[in-house]
Amino acid sequence: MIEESTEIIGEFKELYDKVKLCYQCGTCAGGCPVFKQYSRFNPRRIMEKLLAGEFTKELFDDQQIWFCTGCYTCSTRCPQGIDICHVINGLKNMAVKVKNTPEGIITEMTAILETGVTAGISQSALKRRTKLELPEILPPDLNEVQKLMEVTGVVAKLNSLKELAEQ
Amino acid sequence: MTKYAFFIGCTIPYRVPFIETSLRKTMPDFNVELVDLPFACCPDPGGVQAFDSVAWHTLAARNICLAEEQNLDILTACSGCFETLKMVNTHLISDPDLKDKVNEHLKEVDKEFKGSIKVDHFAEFMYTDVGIDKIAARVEKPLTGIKIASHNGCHFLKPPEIMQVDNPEVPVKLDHLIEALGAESVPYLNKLACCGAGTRTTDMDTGLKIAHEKIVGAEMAQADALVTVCPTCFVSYDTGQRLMAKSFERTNLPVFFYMELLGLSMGYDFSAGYKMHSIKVQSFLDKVS
Ligand code: SF4
Ligand code: SF4
Repeated sequence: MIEESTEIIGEFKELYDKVKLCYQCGTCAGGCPVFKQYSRFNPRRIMEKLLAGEFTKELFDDQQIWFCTGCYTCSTRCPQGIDICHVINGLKNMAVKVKNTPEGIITEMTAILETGVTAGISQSALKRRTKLELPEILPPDLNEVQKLMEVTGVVAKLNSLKELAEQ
Repeated sequence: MTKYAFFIGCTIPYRVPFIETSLRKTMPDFNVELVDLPFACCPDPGGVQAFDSVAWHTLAARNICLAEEQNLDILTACSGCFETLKMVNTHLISDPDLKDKVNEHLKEVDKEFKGSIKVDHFAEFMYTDVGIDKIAARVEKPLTGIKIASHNGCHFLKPPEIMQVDNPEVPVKLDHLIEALGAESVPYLNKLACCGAGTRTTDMDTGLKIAHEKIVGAEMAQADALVTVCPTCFVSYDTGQRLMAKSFERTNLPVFFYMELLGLSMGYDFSAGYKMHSIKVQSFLDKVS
């Protein structure tokens, strides 16, 4: 089992309530663009583990859930009306809490924290904009973005993930 | 002129700014005034929502507040931004508990989400508010004989109960938008498939494989180009084909953002922008003229 956290167990219960109608038909996997190319990622298997209460390290540790591209094809087709994509998102939120987060996501969150946007303002981008005679980009109020990332706990989570990476 | 808060997002201005040109030049012809506001990242429905759902709702709500303060509806140019902003707007309007939680956070920056505006996507706007007939009436150089593979992408259509744009299994609006320009929208293998961008953050190869399969399908259908309504999908296929060539069979399919194609058929000179595509489009342009 992953490290004890009553908060996560609570969230897990919520997720379990959402998937308990699953009858393992596999429609979600059948239409999943990721499963088609990489069969180790299988949304039906993820539902199976949740149904069995297999709230184990495995669910988070091999980064399987992070392969989900978030396309909602499964959610649109599930005959039981389960929003699988949303459930996997919940698992990703929980994975961040147990400090399993892909490098790419940490980089993206850091970029938003430092600049307010995901794609950094490179010199080549600015040159292209000048060439195209595009107007200047209005900079976002960075103080507000940072404040909100602080009060929602994002900054603390990022710090502990970075600490872990340095160890 | 109808005024809209123009939500350009991060991908367009910093990575594919020629898409911005196509929107800024053509939208006024359809009586739209694009108002720029200092928006931050929408934020990304993939990464940020996955990291922390409440933070995702809160940061998106802050952007919506900026438009609410100006009493303007939002028009998005990117399907990812569209999904985030429309989904958060819908969630907060329908879930008072979540709205209270988010507003509690927003208080820290003197903002309050009210739920007073709507969020739309430029392609849905072109189809529903402008209409196919009015678009067709503006076409000066019809794209006769040109075959297009239309790519709707995921966030434009799904989840359908939130996005409310088109049938997610049998979408037709983008095909009609393409045919309004005189081109033919061809059926092709994997037409509904995702561009794979969300998986690239975790595993580049799997993400590229997903995109490659679609390009192969479009080439088999003898499409002259692939057309997207989302800048992230655009990058997946345009820059993506360069990356794919390292691991998979080489493809060479020109990719366009819908408004670039619209501008072309209206007689706009977007040549400075075409030169910035990763996959060369000259052979396509030769076919058109
Ligand atoms: S489609 Fe729905 S019911 Fe079928 S296996 Fe997937 S989650 Fe379960
Ligand atoms: S949302 Fe995720 S699990 Fe569902 S079909 Fe798309 S990639 Fe697969």
